[in-house]
Amino acid sequence: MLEFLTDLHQFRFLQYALLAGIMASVACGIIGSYVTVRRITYIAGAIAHCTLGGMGAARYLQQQYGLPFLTPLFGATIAALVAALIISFLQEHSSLRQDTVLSAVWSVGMGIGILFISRTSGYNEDLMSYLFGDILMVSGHDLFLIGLLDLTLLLLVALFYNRLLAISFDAEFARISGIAVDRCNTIFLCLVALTVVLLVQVVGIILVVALLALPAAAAGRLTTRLPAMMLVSTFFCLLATSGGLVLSYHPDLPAGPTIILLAAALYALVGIYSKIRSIYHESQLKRPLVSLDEPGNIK
Amino acid sequence: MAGQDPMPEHTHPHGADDQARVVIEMEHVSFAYNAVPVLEDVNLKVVEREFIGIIGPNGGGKTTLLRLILGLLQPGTGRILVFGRPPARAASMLGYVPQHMQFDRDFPVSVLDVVLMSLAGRAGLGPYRRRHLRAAEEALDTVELLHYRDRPFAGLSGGQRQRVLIARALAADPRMLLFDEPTANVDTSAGEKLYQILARLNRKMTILVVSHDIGFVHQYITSVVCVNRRVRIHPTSALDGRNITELYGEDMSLIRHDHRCSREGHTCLNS
Repeated sequence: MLEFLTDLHQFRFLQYALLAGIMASVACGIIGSYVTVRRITYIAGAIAHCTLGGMGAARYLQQQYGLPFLTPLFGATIAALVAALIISFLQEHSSLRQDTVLSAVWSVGMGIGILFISRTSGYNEDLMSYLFGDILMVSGHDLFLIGLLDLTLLLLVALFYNRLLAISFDAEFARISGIAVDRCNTIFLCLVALTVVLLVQVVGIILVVALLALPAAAAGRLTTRLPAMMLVSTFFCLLATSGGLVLSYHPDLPAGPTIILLAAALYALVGIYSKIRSIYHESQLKRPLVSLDEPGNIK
Repeated sequence: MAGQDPMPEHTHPHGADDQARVVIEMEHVSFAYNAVPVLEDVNLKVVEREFIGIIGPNGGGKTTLLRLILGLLQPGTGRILVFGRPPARAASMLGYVPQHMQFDRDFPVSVLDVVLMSLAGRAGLGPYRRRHLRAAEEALDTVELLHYRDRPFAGLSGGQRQRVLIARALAADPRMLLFDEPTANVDTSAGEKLYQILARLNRKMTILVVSHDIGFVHQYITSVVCVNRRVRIHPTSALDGRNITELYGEDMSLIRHDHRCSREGHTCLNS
């Protein structure tokens, strides 16, 4: 811990890592809450795996043709957005099973990525850092892009909050009440895609889903309204990313898995806490609460 | 809600008065799901401020009829006009209360959040304005749940949840309410309460209720629409509730058919 703090003063890469974690947590808390209440972590999973295609292609082109702006992060962003658009287009305009579509996006993206990476030198290191994240490798340029994604996301959620809530709760009613549900869904999936890209930088492709789902699920057990859930979830994400970074630093463990295990531990703790709380509450009530609001109950 | 509706001269929905305003008009409407006919040659005319009970066996097409009126489905053939327009363009005047929505017990919303949802489409981007909050609170007041506005929606009883969903429909200030099985999963007293609220709302707006529960419906409705692939409308102004059964024995037997298919029914048949 102390070593981490002294090194934090000294090393830029550590500051970048911490900042990247903090910024990703904001996106993760907000979008993770939507993803959790809509129960679509598997869509996030498909998008996450698809980003490998973009990262591999970008890395390959960068190395082969010397295009410095084609960073893996840039490639991942494009791939994630394309995946989101494909998924939402097929949801609206085809009767294909969603399951099939997601499996295809998931594995085709990965396949493309691995093909490109196999043609690029430094195969193994790249692949491992994409799959399991390498938060210590975040560059200043990456950080700038992460910040930009974060701001875009916050702005869009602020504008579309009411509609997103309405379509998440009851899409059919939302359609009747005049919301362009399909368009909102497309925007929403793009938001998920941007968030996934941010989180891939922190914990890697394979672990993204856990970081999206676990802090939000834990927050959901402690809150009753979506904004509160988002706030608490952001806080849990922060705890997990910063805590994971600190814990993994001294023993030189990979940061991504440490972050995920910390998130899982938080989720378990909150689960146990809310279970105990509900048992306690039940023991407080001698009999089930009768609502006095229904006049039929007062006789 | 406080606004005074200008009362037309002929407001009594019971009379077959031609001057009363027609709010739903269906002509020769047919609908099929994957070539399986669900509704055939439906002709229906609903007049302003009627209280229509839609009954019929399961799978008879009641919900399909409602969804056609809401513009969620397009008829295969025929013409539908709602308030003189194609259904999709009349949506803003319709308040829909879905059948026991498959709602997620963990969904983190308050009662007021749910009611506001009917305004999300028209409220523009960004947060709700004060007038939206006021409309939502008024709607909650109408269903007598204003004091529950900040409660978690998931914590309510089935009847209260139904009332919140009514308030959600009302907040958008509709001219017609469409109700799918309002008393499903609601106990008797809560169901009674629901119909009292509907009867009061009926003074201002047309109401369509899909229901199995003809016993509940009969004291409030002005017409019964029987749906079993074909649709027949029966004005009830001439009858009282007791003899609906006798007069519409044929249709009622269709409803009884449901009961015969229940488990007790089968055991009866088997024994």
